[in-house]
This record gives sequence, C-alpha cells and structure tokens, in this order.
Amino acid sequence: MTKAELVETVSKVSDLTRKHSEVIVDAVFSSIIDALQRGDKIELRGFGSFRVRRRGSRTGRNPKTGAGVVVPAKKVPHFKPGKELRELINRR
Amino acid sequence: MTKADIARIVYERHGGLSNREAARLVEIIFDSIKNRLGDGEKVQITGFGTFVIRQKRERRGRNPQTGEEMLIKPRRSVVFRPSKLFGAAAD
Repeated sequence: MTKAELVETVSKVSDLTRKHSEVIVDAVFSSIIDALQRGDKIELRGFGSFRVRRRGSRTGRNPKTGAGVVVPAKKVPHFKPGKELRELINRR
Repeated sequence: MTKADIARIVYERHGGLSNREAARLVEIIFDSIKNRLGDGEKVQITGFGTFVIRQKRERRGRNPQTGEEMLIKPRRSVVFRPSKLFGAAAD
C-alpha cells in the first residue's frame, strides 16, 4: 500500500475530495514526526508506538578504499508494533 | 502523544471536520495500515517511512526470569524503515 491508496481510502469513507483527504493523511504523519522531534513518544493503541532511539558511534569502513571511518552517534526513529498488530500478522 | 492528540491536530489542520469525524478518520488510517500488514503487504508512506513484514527464524532463547532455555518458534514481525526526511528530523 502507498500513501496514495491511503488517501483514496479516506476519501471513500468520508465523502471528502482527494485533496482534502490528503491534507488529513499528511497531518497524521507530520504530527508523528513533529512529536518525535520534540522528544515526545507516540503511543497508538492497537497499532504500536514510535520513539527515538540513540545509536552509539561506531567504526565503519569505506567500502571502496577499506579505510576505517568513525560513524558518529545519532538518534533514529524506532517503531515497536503493538500486541494487536503482532497477533494479526502471526495469525494462521 | 496518542491517537486523540493526532485527531485534534487533524481537526485543526483541516478545519472543516467535526472532532468526531477527525477521530474516526485517524482510526481508519491506522486500521488500514494494520490490515494491509496483516495480509503480508508492505506499506510505504512517502516522506514518513515504510512498514515491512520480516520473517524471523526459529531460534533458541532463554526465559530472562528463570534462565530456562526454550525454543522460540518462527514468527513474523513488522519493521519500520524511516524515510530520509524522518530520520534527519529525529537526529
């Protein structure tokens, strides 16, 4: 599924135009990005949670030259699926 | 932040919806993603990231409480790969 299909779904269930539906879908995802950027965590019941994880610095390698390069520490978004989602993808 | 907070933001951003309708649509968005993942499909949201299903093999694990060794059955899990934009925003 792509974002366009998600917009289509919203449009179908709401009588809203595609344009209005897109505003809604965009607002949902940008609100999650904004919250994590503020250092908030997001907990979506039945779906999962998003939070920022710290990743320590490590020594990587330049694949062309083989020279060691220090990759600096950084923060990355992390998603943890909720119980309902975990069960749904594992049902037989 | 919870779904209620996201619904409030949607309500403010769109301007022409009731609170209730905003909440209903937010619920539908996450349910659709969940159901597609349940069908084994990947979900790609441009500018946000991609949810993919990963098959995990059977492995030996340990109950952290009792230290007892046990076999963990093969299972599927969801992995989220943030888009460049999202990754840069978080850092």
